[in-house]
Amino acid sequence: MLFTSYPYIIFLTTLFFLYWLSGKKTLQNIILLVASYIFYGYIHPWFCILIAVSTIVDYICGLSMGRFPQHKKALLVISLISNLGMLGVFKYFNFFAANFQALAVNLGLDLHPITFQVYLPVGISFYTFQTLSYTIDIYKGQLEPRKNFIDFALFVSFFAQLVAGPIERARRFLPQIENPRRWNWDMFVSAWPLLIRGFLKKMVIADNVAVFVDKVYMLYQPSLFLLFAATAAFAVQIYMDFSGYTDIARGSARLLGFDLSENFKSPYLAISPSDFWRRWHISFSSWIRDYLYIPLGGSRTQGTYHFFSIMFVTMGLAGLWHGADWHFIWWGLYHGTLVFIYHRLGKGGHWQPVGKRKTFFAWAVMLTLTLTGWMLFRASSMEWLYRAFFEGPRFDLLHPRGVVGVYILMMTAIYCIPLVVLFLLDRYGHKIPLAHSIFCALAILMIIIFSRDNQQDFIYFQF
Amino acid sequence: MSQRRRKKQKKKTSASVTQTDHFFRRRVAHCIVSLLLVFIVIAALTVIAGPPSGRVIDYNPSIDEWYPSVMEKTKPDVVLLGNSLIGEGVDEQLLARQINQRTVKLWKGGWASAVWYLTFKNVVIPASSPPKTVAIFFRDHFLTDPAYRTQASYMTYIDDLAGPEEPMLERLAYLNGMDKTTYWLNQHWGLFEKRNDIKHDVESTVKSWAGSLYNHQNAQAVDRSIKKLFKVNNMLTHELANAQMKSEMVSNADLYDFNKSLPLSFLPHIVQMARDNDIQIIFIRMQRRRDAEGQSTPDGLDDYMRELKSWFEAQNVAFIDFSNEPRLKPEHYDNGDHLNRSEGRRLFTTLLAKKLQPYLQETAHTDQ
Repeated sequence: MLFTSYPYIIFLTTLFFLYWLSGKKTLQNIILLVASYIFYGYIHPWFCILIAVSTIVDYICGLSMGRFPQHKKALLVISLISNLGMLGVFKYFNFFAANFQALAVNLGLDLHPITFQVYLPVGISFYTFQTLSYTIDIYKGQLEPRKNFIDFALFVSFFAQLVAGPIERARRFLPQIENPRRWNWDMFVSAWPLLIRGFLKKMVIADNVAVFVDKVYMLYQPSLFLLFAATAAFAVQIYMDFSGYTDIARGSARLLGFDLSENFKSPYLAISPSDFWRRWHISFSSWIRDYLYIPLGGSRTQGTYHFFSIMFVTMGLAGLWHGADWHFIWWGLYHGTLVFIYHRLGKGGHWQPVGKRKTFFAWAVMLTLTLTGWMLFRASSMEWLYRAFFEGPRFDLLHPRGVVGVYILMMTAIYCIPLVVLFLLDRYGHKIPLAHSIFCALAILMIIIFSRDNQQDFIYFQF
Repeated sequence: MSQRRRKKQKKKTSASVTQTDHFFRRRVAHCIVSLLLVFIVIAALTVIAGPPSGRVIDYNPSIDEWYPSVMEKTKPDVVLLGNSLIGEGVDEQLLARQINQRTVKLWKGGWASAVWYLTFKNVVIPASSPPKTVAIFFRDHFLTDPAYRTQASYMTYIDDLAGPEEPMLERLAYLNGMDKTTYWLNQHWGLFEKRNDIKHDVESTVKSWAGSLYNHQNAQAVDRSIKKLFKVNNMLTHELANAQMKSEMVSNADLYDFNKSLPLSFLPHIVQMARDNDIQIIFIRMQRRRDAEGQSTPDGLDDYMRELKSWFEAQNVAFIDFSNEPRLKPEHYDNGDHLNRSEGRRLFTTLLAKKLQPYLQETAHTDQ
């Protein structure tokens, strides 16, 4: 079910009343669990089987780790194999099969590709990471295994963050599920601005900007200027799309008394790669840091080669998490290389340049690097990007066709106005009490007028 | 001492309660003011927008004179109705020579069943010398997807071919596909009905700003540049085909449920009109690049095609299926599902002529 569809509004409203009228925590959790499965299986009911299998395996593994601590390692391996196995089969099988076949052909072997015709289950990467955090934390002794199956199943499948995050940690989210939730006006009131922001970001900004981006990235050979304009638009699109989803998820959860984590903190204001990853898709980057980068020794190593190889593996896998395609892997490796270079230059971690001019320069450099990264991320293939960069028309701003690039930049800027206002409101809005109310009123109006007739999927659904 | 402490504690607690109360009141006030503002702003704009027209769609019906004039000038025996697939894939003159009949192609890139219905009804049938045969070229499930390509920029095709009253068009292409909420809002709220005009005005303004930087081009000139840049020949073949498939999936959830789609489509009406006007109608399924490359078809399409074929048989309507034509190979394609102009176009035209011949001879016999 899409957040931006009418069925979701009916779903959320019905759930809201049923949930709060039921009163008791156990009943509330059962209602939420059933609702979450309806939400997830709304289009393809068989998706529910996968999430149920993942839930049962991790529930049993978690419980068994508590009961048989001597077999903890074996149980963790079972959990990892079953979760990553499902992810591998449904998301990466065709990718690896095709690459294996290509390699075989290069070696002179005649192999027929085995492909697996199946829809990628939406959100599988998100809930796999979420359940993995549960078993790994139990293995490390940082979390007690849960006995209540309903609570655990709800932790895995809670509809608001099921398909595109935020990836909640068991330590943070399970206590919220286990403790009684009482009606809280403050939570209720604070949910609405989040919902309105989310719908505005997705339906007004992301969906409209996507039109230009899709067209340019579908051209056989765009000029460099057009590629730049479309990439700037894509940077806006992906941020608005994903942070819009997070806002709607957080707003919906608040209506039910839950507090989900923040996933974005003005990522395009980052001044270094490490800073970018502290601001962009925070729940994912912190997962990667805690469960991959640190266990591999990234936080302790001093050796250049060792550090580079850890960054290479971590960010390569982070790229692969986004999709079974080489350009995602290159995007991850590109960011890994950036983090490595900045670290070696002594500008890693919480580095902060001294003075406004230096800060501005660091920001401008990082923004350019981020945009370059988005080109890798969005391009249909590396070959396409090479063609656009090295074989296509150069900077054709002055050519009559340059008007299309200028138009794209202008439209993107126009659609960004609400974003800028939102940013200013967050910073200085408290000084003008009416400002938020005016913004909400205008945002609703813009949603009515500028939303597109065809519903668009959220970009991160495919991951 | 302990009493004093308790008093202090009480004071502290009551202060924090007051603070929470104050914070909470501010939030509620904020909510109420927002709601009031939403109401005021929307009410004001609703008054400015005026009452809704009450029409399901807002089109400007005026049949483009070009189409009737082509029919008058050529007086064709055979009319080919389709979209860019025949625009690129059929050589009109070669076909005319091979079937020995006056032939005319009526098409524009993006035409789909709603426009074929309008063209048949408003251009082909009213012609002073209507053709003996009309062939409609389609892909996959398009014949029974009435809402496909009837929105946004495709509205210009509707404008060009719709008459002043088109209740069938409104019902099948717009009303049935519209969810109830959108329909209700469109019918009762002038501001909602005019939202596409507002969007269009914003875009035109920005286009004229952008154009003013380039020797004072106007919005139309910028529009032309956009169309020229994004014309089909400049696009990536596979990306375009994928986007096409995706938009087809979005347009109709029950797209491969033939029995459900048929009564909601233009197909029975087109067949009936042909019968009433004594015109032989032939439906021709085109091969897609996907078929030529031997890729699998979407789930449900094969069943759909079987049902469509039996419906044609039951209705005694001619149907030619090119989807499994082995002589059309991937190298005959240019971009997306379009055949190339060098080899593919010539080959397909020849294959088409051969398949059309038996049906055309039938009409010739009937005439005699």
